[in-house]
Amino acid sequence: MPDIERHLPLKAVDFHILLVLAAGPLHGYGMVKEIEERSGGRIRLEPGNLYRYVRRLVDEGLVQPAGERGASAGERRRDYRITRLGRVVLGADARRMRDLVAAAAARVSLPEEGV
Amino acid sequence: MTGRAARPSLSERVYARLLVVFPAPFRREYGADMLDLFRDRHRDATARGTLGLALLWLRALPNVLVHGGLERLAVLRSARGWEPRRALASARRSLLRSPVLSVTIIGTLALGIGSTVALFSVLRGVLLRPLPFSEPDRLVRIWEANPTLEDELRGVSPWNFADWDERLDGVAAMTAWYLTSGTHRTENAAEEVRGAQVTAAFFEVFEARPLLGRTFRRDEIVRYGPAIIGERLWERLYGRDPTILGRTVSISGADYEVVGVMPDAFRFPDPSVEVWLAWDLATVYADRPEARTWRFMRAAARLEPGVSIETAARSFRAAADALAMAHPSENRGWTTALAPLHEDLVAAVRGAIWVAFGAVSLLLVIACANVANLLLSRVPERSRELAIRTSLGASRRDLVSGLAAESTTLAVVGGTLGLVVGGWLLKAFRAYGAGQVPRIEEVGIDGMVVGFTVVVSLATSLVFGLAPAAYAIRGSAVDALRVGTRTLGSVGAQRARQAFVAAQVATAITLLTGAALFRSSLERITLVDAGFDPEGAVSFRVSVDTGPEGPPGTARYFRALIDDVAALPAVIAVGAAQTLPMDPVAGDFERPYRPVGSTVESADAPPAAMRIVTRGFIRAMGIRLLEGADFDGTETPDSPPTAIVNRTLARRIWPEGGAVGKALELDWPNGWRPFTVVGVVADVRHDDPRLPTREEVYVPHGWIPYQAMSVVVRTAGDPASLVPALRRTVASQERLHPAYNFVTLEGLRRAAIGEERFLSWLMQAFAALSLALVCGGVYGVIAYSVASRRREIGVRMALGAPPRVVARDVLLRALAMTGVGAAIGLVVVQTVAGPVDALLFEVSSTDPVATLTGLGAVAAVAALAAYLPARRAARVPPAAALAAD
Repeated sequence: MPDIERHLPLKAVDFHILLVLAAGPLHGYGMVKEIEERSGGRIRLEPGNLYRYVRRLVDEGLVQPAGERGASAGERRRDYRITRLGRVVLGADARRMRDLVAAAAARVSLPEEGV
Repeated sequence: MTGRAARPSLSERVYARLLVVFPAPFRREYGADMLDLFRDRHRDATARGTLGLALLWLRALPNVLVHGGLERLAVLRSARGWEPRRALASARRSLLRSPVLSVTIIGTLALGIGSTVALFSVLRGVLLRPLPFSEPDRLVRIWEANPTLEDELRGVSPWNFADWDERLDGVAAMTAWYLTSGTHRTENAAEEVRGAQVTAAFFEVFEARPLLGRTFRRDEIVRYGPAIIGERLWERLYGRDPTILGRTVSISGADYEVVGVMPDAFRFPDPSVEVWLAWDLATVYADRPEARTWRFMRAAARLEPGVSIETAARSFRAAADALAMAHPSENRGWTTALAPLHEDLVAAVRGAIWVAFGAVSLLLVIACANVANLLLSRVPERSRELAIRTSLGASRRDLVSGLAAESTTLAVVGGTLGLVVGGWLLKAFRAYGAGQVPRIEEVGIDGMVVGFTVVVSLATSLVFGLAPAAYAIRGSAVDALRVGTRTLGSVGAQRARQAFVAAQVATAITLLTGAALFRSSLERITLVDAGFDPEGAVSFRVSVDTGPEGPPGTARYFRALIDDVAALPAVIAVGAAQTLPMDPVAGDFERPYRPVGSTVESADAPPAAMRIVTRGFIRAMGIRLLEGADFDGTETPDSPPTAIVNRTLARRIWPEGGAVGKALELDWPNGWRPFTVVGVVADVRHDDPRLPTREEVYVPHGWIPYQAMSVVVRTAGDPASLVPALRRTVASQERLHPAYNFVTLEGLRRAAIGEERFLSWLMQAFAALSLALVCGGVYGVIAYSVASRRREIGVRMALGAPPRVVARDVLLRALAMTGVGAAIGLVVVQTVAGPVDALLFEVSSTDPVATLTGLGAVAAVAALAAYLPARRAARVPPAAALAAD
């Protein structure tokens, strides 16, 4: 495996973006809507910051453009997809957090809310 | 990019333009994606109307500016060979080369940004930031309302409140309070403290948690008490002693157990409150069914989650309707009105703050235009410098980053100074607005304000710094090395400068018209006859406890005090009343009245404001006695009731005159009672100089000895210098009855027209600044154009044009520029007229005098600014035409 540790821990926003893309390729609007929903409205991305994060993730090889979609359908928006490396990093970070949660649960009692 | 069927909206086009902020490679890769996302957001936003669109831009604009800048920074940092320190050092050198210009720019920016920052802080702290309670959106203010009254909103009466409390749906908790004050005593000290009587659920409604102890329990309150004290009082008088819980405090002669201490952060209903006294309406008013008409309490409720204010208002109205049926003689015609608590609290200042913020934004625009103008004036020399650097091998990117470093340096220094200036202004403003502007103590410079400053500074430097830079670079390549004075300054730059001046003129006219309007509004309100003479009088408040002698003792106390004060040197007249005109410390109440012989019921009788006064009060206030005489001072609770009425009331019941000796009836506790009129006085604008006078009835203090009174002292000398002697006199009466709240009547009046004074002062300051800036702007452009056309003018002179004509042409050019700006300005004035009119007294924004004042001032300044260059043009020797470049 290439150097995964280099990417860890993921920033919260990067984690969200990767998580959303893990379900399938998506365009900007789809990403921000789903991230907004997932974060209960706390993370609201505008074009300016979203694409700076995307640029960084592309530079790091975690995300790549999925090419122009359906010029036929008149739909012009470009999708992004998670790379294999992206998937591996996302999984690694999720595991890292799970271990953290487990460690915390051993010390303090966590509220029993729906997971 | 593929073509699109639909034409992009204006927002999209603007947004596409804005993307220039991002570095070109980034734009090429992601620009289209960003635009797509913006378009999606835009579609969502337009579905929500204008507000949605405004919110969209409010988010998108800073987002693009900030992240564009950050991305550029990231690119610069990764590019080899770019050294920020060197770029900054070179920027500093370049700025220091023309120190006057740099200082002028930085000063202009600091002033413009500083005033904007100060007013933005106020706007945010007072109007925008949610109230400091948990889930403040669920809090509403409750009023009783009677549509037949001129000012229809009234407080809430104890019995109506108690009845709603039992039958309302959608309300989680509800409370009523009354602001009061009492004398807090320890063994050997006495101090007047402000307090609030509050019903049991008060702290539940605001979800306030005590620092120490607990809040009130419903079942523990009988009449009044226990008490909760404020952190400041706890610290001042008890040294933060935790054993305070369970001890008693003595307030105005009664003892109350302390059950809690509230943190200083909790400041409701007023920041001055230091004691909250539990208040049980059912026991206090048990034998007072007539209290149903005493609409003096303030009330608020916390709605259940998810219940809208409209729904709650409906259920309140239904309850009020039921009560009007059940108690027609007290409640007929009365309903309720709800308002969001935040809106209600700031209603009085909302308009003034928005107008002030609007004005300061205009000032910032003018300041920015001036900065741009100053930078444009340097285009010629910069063009030459840049051309030389280009020929020496500098790339275009080097030039741009150099210029950007300069503008950014200017913006950072200007913005930082602006933040400092803003801090000062804010401090001055807080001192000025203390006690007058709600929530002013919450106003401060926080993260959001700093963020606002950063965005404003960066936007200013980018927009106004880079545009000139673009001209400089464009001009540099071709012309500049030819070193001809004629070619200096491209035509484009000159045109841009004229446009900036026109914009300045437009904004300046708006500000000047505003200044003229608010000034005239202030003058008119100052001319209003308040009905009393504010000059040469001072007042203070004393409250006494009910002693063993009861009410007659209170009457005797005040009689003795007034006699002693009257004996002081230079005192002309003394008297006391339970409430003073324009005094925010209200002890105001009103009673329904009717002529003797009328059978009209309480709910249908008009209310008269009650003034409980001692003999001498009318003279001490300088209120004109129109008929009859003052009270004779011998009244007792048992003597037949007498009254003095104001002219409005006398005219209303006895239009044919001759009020003295006749009687009117007041709905007193225990029913209607007749009062014989002994005098008629002029109308006093009691509440507000802007509002017409209400009916007023003065009754003698001897007959109803009120315990808290404001004593008014009229003196031949300086009223303020009398204060120490007055303090001593009060102290000599009885040691533990302190005098407090000293204020001159002039001071009360000034505070009452504070809004007019503030807006008038602010607008005049802004207008003066804008005039100075316009003057500089016009002078700069005209002087520059004369200098650059020197040769052309020389040719005209040589061909025989008289100097007068040459000068006139120059002046006309200046006036044309001004005219375009003026036309735009007049349109702007008309568009902002609505909100401004609401703040004006007896004058409207269409007032021709104000508009003409604005036009005249700008035209005069423009002509003045153009005069010197015009004269210079007239003196150009014809030989200039031949002069070598």
